[in-house]
Amino acid sequence: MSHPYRGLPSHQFWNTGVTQAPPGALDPMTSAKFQIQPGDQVATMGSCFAQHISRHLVKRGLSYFIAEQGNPNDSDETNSARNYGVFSARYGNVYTVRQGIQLIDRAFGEFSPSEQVWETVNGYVDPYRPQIEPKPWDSPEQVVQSRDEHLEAVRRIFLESDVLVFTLGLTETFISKTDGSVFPVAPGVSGGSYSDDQYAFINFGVSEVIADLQIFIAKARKLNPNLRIILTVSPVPLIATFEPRHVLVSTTISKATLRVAADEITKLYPFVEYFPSYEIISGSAIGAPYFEPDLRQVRQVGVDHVMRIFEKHMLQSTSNSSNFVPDTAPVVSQPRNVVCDEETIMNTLNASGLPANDH
Amino acid sequence: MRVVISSNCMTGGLTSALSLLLPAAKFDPIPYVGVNETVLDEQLAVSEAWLLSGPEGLQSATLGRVNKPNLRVIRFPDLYFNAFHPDQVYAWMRDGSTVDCATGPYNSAIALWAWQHGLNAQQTISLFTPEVFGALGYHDRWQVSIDRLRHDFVPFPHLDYRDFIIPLQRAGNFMHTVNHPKVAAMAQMARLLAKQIDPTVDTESIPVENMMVDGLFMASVSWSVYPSVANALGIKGAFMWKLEDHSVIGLEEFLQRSFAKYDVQQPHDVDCHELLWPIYDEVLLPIANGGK
Repeated sequence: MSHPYRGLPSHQFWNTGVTQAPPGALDPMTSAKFQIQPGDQVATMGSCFAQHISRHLVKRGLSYFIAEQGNPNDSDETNSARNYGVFSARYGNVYTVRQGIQLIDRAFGEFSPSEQVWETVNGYVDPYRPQIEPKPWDSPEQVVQSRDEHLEAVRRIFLESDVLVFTLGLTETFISKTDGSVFPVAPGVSGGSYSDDQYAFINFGVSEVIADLQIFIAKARKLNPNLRIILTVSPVPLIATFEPRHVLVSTTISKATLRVAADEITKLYPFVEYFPSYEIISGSAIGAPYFEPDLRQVRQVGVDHVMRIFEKHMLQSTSNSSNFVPDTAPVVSQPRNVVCDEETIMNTLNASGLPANDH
Repeated sequence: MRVVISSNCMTGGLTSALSLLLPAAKFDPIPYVGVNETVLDEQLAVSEAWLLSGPEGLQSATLGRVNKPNLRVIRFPDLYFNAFHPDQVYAWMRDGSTVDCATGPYNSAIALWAWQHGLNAQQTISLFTPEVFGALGYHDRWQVSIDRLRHDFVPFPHLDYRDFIIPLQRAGNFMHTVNHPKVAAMAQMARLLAKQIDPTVDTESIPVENMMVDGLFMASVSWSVYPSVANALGIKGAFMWKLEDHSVIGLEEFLQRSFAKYDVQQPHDVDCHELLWPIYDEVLLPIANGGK
């Protein structure tokens, strides 16, 4: 009897695609529309999980595009503390797609938010990246000057990158009631002051995220017609939800929304690819082993798994792995029958609390 | 019901696990290594079942002596799984005895190769890198080990290797060495055997792993899972070897102690099957020649 599943590839079946997948090697990506070539300038932006991709690109010696460089006279530690190189520019975490749209618009002079500077306890911060400096600026002018330099770097990213890796992080955010400006951190947390009159909570739905992604892509491709985009969804759960419900429920809705939007968008554009880091870390096939005990932060071993799969599909091979496969038959690989000596076996029995001396 | 268990190093662990799974039965451990035939025969004479791994000849010879037609013989495989320890090999002297290193008969192929090629312990450290392990295929041994496991289960069609491996394969490292299972693997094999003795027993609901002593860990070696090998399997690893005396040594000491034992031998007297694979020379010779 014929049926439509006959002859499908093994990855389309749970048993062979997941149940039997080797630990550390589950590979949910079956093909890629494009690969990152050795000369490509690769930029990253998005939620904190995108930082892992940045680091891996550097480690592999690929062209990780850092448009906003630290001061060469400062130490690596100082530049790192000031978030140079964490992403391609010092925008900090771009959690929502709407924030990404406004980043482009601010960089290219199409949007000037009403809020330019937030005051905080010890100085002033940029509302659109309030944690970018280890300590606040001393004056509002310094905030503006630093932002001007930053937005110049952002312009270079959107004009000069060959590939942009955009990690979608959140659907919940706070916006200005005045002009719709989106903030990465709620007003009052790292600067500014929260007021119901000034700000509103928003939780973007699927249709809004899809629409925002279309706008974001249209703007980016207008600036750079050859730009290719790799979308990922951060597996890091929400640290808190403003919705009056359990944070796990909100996390599920948020990630599902982003994942659906990414899927819809990937189907629309040949130059947009989805990379399943979310599935590798959070999928039911893996579960908690790739999360730290807080069940939120991702363990390095999980990140390494993600990057192996990313390298396999998205990068031209630079792996040093061998194709060598040893012989497997026991009579060949073990030419002599190896068993433990009697003493070891008896010690084992004794250690197990079992009688051994009689035998 | 009385049941005799005859296996190798697994005998103790299986006895403990089965006693927890089937508390109404009485299990008597009689390892097949160095077996006292009289004791075995007497025990089988008063037992209803015999759980047996190891050499085929033991079964036929014993049953020829013990006239007990209704004795159930349930055979099962000895375990060998080297995905966690792809560098671990046995080596042999001309007289057939095993070559011992810091961890007894469990040698490092890389260390042994280095010693045979005139490197000292300090120089050999430079060979223990993720790049070398990757080039030797150590990061990709899972499927090979699965294939070997499946092969080992073939003579025992009453046991499905998938029922053994699938519950284990997401649970981290389940082997102390290539042939010494940890408690989790021991318990899983015991579950398969318990079902053979009593198909009605609910083996999954009994957490035997939490109730039994890991005799192999207490009495023997637990080998390093090299960091990059572990990483490729999504687990933690370290260059740490736990010895029989319960001390733990790192890479440098492992190599120094191993080379001290090797140095009383002549390199050409030592035979190691795996080192006949050309891959070791192809990968290690250029590095060794550069480092000497």
